Amino acid sequence: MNLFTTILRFLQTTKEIDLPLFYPEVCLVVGLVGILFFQLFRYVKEISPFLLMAGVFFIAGLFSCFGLETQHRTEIFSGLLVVDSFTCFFRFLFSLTGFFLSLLLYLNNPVSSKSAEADIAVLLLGATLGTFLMVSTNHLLMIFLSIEMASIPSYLLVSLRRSQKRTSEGSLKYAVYGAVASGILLYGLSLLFGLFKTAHLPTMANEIIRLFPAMEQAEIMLFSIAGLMVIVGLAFKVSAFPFHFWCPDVFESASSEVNLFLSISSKGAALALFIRLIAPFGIFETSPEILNQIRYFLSVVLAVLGVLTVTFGNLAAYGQTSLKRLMAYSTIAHAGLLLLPLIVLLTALDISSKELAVGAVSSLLIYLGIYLFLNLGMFAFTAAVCDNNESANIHDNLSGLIYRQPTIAISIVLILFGLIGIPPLSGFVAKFAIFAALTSGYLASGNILFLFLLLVGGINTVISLGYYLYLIKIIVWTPSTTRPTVTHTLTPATPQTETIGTYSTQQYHSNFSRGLTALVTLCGSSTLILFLFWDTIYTVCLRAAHSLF
Amino acid sequence: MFDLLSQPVTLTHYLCISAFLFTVGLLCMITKRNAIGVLIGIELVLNSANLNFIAFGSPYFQQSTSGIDGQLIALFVIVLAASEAAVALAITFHFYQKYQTIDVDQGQDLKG
Repeated sequence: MNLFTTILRFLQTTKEIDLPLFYPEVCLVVGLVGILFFQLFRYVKEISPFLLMAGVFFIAGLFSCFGLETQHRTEIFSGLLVVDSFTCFFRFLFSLTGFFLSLLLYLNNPVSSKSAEADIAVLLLGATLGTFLMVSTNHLLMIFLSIEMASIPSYLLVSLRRSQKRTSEGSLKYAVYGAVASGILLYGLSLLFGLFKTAHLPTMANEIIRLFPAMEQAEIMLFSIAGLMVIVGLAFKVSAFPFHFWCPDVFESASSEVNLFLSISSKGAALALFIRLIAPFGIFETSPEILNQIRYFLSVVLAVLGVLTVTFGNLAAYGQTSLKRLMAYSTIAHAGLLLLPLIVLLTALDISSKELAVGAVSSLLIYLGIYLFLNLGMFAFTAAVCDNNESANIHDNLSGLIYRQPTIAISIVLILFGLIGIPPLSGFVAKFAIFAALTSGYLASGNILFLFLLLVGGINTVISLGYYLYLIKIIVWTPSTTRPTVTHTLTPATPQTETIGTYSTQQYHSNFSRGLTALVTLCGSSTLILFLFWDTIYTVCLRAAHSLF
Repeated sequence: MFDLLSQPVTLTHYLCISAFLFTVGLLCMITKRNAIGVLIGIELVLNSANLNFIAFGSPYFQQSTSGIDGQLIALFVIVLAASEAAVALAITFHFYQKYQTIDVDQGQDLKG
């Protein structure tokens, strides 16, 4: 009888509390099974799986909207997951990414057969489910489970264009390195589990506060090694500097849609998981100075990672001849910049200033939100110009674009200026939020480290100017080497003398379907729109960050 | 520490075995150039972590408050390791079809 009532109560809480907060994930799972199931029927089969997927993401986004403003911290499924506005924000962000991704896939279909389309849809839904769980994780098991759920489908997604030779190389490298990173992460987690005898993250934070002052030297060594192993696993997902090597190869070989998923959803989820791991250190604390040592250690590690990542990403972007490879290094640099607010967060917990912590987290959130649209435009563009040609060479694809496709060229120039962070565009808001968080971190703590980080951020913005402006120069000023008809209209007297490029040029022309042009233009104009309405997004980000602490 | 072999089996024995497995797995991943060899190394590392989880979660070795969390995590890890191996083998097979080898160093088309 006792067991029976326990089970009944368990079922009741699951039904009444847990499941309603889990609807976005349920929606993804239903969509995932549904798309597979629909392939059995003759008439439903005619609908493109990508459109169905867009619908699923739309509904999941609607469900995550409900908690965006007011969701308080609630642990569901007996403490395995936690749902608050922070979770809802990321769910919404990833649903949005998924929605645009489906549209992009629909407009620029990378595969030919219908069943392959369904496979891609299922894999993408599964990977997004993994990222949903990553941002709501509250338990050691869920850390590993969700990272693997996000990673394993993306290994397969990379090898999606099976006809190309180098695709298999990229996905093999990604799978092997990814498996190594997750193995190291798991070993670190097992050591943490053994040291503190619990797998529930808030309980673990409590145990650390209780046990840490009495720890021996050897135990502290073990603790830091375990922490470093976990950081390695996460840094691999973020593609921070020493663990970035997969990123350019994978980005070059994968199709642009997958690149968009990796650069927004996968990296964003890993950053959110970082925050989830750091935040418990500030919630239950009564005497802050116990954990100062741990936080100092963490902030040094993160500062080294962040500074190296952003500098390396920007420097390595020079001298790239492939547009997709250049974008890969650009995403590495942006990920490095996104690691810097975490240091402010650690300092905020140090001096128990809730305001500073909220500011740090919300700067990261607004950066990701704006970066989504910039990257969407960029990768929609590379999908059109690079994916259908063997060559992703910058000169072949971009030169004289302004004469061929003026609308797209202007949008891309706007997006590139946005990625630099020039004032009247949305990228400026994002960069400003990060630098503002660093400045307030310096003002609150007086730590000289923040001045250094600000300096690095500023220098890197200047460095990044170089290669973004180079792209703009090629788009706007370099005459088209590949379009004889354009040269013809420009210099009618000497037709076709400037056709230096060896590519047959007619195919570039047809790649921009009307839908893709609309999508790129939307992203280009969003740089202006988001700049005008940045305070609306910032309010949402602030609410989401507030629910963490 | 040095008379582990003459003692009854304790937590320390399990941890030593697991650390040994982890080291062997890591070395295997670093030194092997064969994709299958690297995958074997990954399995070793995952299993060493599994052994840790089970040993730390066992109520016979130490007073534990974690319930059956350790054992449960181990079960999930086994499932994930299997699926990861399946995916990695499929990708290796695809690589073999394109390059006629599974030497991971032979893939040199992506550089820069």
